[in-house]
Amino acid sequence: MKVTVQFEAQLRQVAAINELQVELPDRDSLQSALQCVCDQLGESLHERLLTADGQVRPSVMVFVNDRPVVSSVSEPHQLIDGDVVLLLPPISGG
Amino acid sequence: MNNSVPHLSDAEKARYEWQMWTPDVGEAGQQKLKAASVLVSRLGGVGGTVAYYLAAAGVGRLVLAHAGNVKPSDLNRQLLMTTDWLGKPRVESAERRLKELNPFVEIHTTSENISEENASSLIGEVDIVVDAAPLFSERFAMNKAAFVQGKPLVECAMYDLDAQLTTLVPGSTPCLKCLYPEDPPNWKREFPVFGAVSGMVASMAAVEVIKLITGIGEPLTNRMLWVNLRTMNFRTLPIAQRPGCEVCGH
Repeated sequence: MKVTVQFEAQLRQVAAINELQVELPDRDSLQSALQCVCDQLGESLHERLLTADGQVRPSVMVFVNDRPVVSSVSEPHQLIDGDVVLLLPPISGG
Repeated sequence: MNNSVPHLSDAEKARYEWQMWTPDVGEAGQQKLKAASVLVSRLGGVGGTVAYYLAAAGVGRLVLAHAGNVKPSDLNRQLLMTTDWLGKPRVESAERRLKELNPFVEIHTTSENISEENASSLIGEVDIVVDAAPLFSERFAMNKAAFVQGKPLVECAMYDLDAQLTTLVPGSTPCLKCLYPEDPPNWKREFPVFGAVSGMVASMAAVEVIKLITGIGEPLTNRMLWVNLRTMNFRTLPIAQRPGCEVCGH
């Protein structure tokens, strides 16, 4: 299956790309998709996106097809072909 | 909110004439604005512009919190700070500018940023809170106090050419800790931004406050606006309460 991962704000800056399409086994998890993205785009992105044990950082908001998703290693969110994953990092005022 | 109906002078009616023409606002809506009080923290690119528009709109009382003195690096976006006030307290520059714009608005300033120590008392003075602070510790302190006191919190943020806005209402929407359960480990207080970006999100935040006070329109509740000004892509995304949230307990 093909899944599109979109980056905003600092994540777009670190990834140096607006979005990336990745190919994964059918019904693979959100974590696997993000690990795949980090493998392709580098360690800096991994640090901001995933914890050492592969969990999505709680401060990163994740939307799949514009719906909010909370996914963990123990309760992974399964993706399907054509899903669009949007990653919103924490931002603030100033 | 203050339930007494304040009188509008002829000078005030003349000043606010164009906005009182807005359907569902009228003189009664303007009186609600005059009776209302809003805390704005801080007075940077976002907060200063929110305060400017709320003063222009005739919100009766503004409580403004921002520590420190005006620096050259403030001046690309902090429209209440002026070159002649470099090295002097930011809240003084802000108060002066707001009073020049609208002498009818009562302004209370504090030369402190929001903290666990002062959040409760400052929020206790107002009806609505605008969070335009750069540090998550400040934002979390405001979120907690606003939730405990049942006060709406208009949350504004920006980075680069991106901006984010949502209105959090205790008991009806997620709280800030639902969205960010941890202090983000990589967040830095200083970041890239143009004043036009902070001004854009600030204008929309001021509209949110005006809607909350007057009751017109639909506040941005249970939704978050994310704007990418590089692509001019505006998304309104649903946001959800987080089970077991340490603040709102959902």
